[in-house]
Amino acid sequence: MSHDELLALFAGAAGAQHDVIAALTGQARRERTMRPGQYALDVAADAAVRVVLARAEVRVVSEESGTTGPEHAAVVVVVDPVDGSTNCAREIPYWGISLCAIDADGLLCALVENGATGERSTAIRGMGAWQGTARLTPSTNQRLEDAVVAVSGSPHPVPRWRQYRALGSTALALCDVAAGRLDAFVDCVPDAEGPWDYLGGLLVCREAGAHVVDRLDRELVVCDPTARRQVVAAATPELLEAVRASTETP
Amino acid sequence: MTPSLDLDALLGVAITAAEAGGRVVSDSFGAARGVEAKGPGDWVSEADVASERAVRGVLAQGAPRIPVFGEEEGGERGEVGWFVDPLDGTTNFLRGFPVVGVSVGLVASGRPVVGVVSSPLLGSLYNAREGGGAFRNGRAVRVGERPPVESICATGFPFRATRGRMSEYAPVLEQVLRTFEDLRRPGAASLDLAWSADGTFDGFFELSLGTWDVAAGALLVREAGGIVTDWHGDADAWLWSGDIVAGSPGVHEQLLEVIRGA
Repeated sequence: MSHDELLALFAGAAGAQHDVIAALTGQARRERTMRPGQYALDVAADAAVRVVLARAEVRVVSEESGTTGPEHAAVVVVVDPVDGSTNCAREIPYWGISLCAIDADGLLCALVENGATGERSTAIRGMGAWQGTARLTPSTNQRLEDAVVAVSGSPHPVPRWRQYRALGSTALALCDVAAGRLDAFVDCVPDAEGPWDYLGGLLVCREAGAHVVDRLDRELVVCDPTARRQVVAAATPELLEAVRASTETP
Repeated sequence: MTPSLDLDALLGVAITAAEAGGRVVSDSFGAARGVEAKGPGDWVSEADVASERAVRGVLAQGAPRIPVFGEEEGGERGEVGWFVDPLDGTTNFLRGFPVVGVSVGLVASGRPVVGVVSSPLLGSLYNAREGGGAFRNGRAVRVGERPPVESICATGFPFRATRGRMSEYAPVLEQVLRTFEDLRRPGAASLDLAWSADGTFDGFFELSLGTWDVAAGALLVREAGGIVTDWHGDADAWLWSGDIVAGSPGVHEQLLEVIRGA
């Protein structure tokens, strides 16, 4: 499949997710499942998204349902049907869907969409990252003291950054680093991120020119649903190292 | 109660004022991003000042005898007075992140009696008057009823404070993450309070905020059934110190316990 065909497929999946979530209101929106951290909305969105993805010859790795689809497909789609589920349940407008296609050469294309605002980020290998017609470019900040940094978890001690944000969606935070709204993102919790959390945002960042690493320098491009990583992202290499150094666990 | 003030009428004035400021903020949003790199602060200062002037214009017309203190232009602080943050969340605004508020609070005898927080880019307007309940877009709101382990607290970074206050703040931040389900830091205190009032968040804590940041939002929390104090549990001092703890009764108590133990 071409990247255009895949992005069209992803747009269809995002639309299906949107329709399912919109129908969940009140208590139905907040209902949890027996699985820690999972909401009923995650399960419902996953089912709707997989129906769309099943129209294509792709293998699917989902946060909610693991690996499905043809074993020898040339493309693997890694999807988080709802990234920021707690925000979605509480109607905090910072949650979305993340889809990323991987072929034999690595990350091929990605779509990350904020379900509350409809803002959609897309990226294609070698062709840049975009929100609509606007090409994404990160900030040029190099210094921690000037940086607005999004965190997951809490660093100790608190670094000397300008400000921090704690927003609850890794996929959207990475897109905001790519777009220059944030200068950096750091996960302070060891090995809390599955590939579905960060792969879409990773390609958006890379294509925009931002920098993303695993804290322990492990390979980030993995499809293994059991793999976990600790993501650090920043607008510039200098800031990346400053953020990483300032949030090292003593 | 404050019998000498017509709080319903003043609430109407405050709503109109916050809406006027919100229109300025909405009209300015987006255009600011490119300007930041050319000249930090200049254009956004215009947006701040323009919003404050819009708010002041409405307040002067609707309540001409009540002094106004605004974040940008300052002003008189009387026994009765308005406190205005015309653009709460300036960093977000600059960077194209839509979590910004316009906050208009009326303080009388050391406590907030009217409060309006507009979220112009997210389409919400919260309002309350003392004794009259809290509302979002016209519908009554209440604080959440979740136990602490299922609760989310919002906080802010005490960037106005001296760096020395980080030693007070950091251990509380760490312990909050262990005590509650999660933490959020969207970057606009007035909205953190409004979202604590309607149960989106369950609590909020921060140090060294301005009266203009908290007067309106804190009244929303109280009128929605929540509790607001300073970090020592004082029911009044937070308005002037800006050291605030707010939330549903259970979460507020748990936050105070975390602070005491930190």
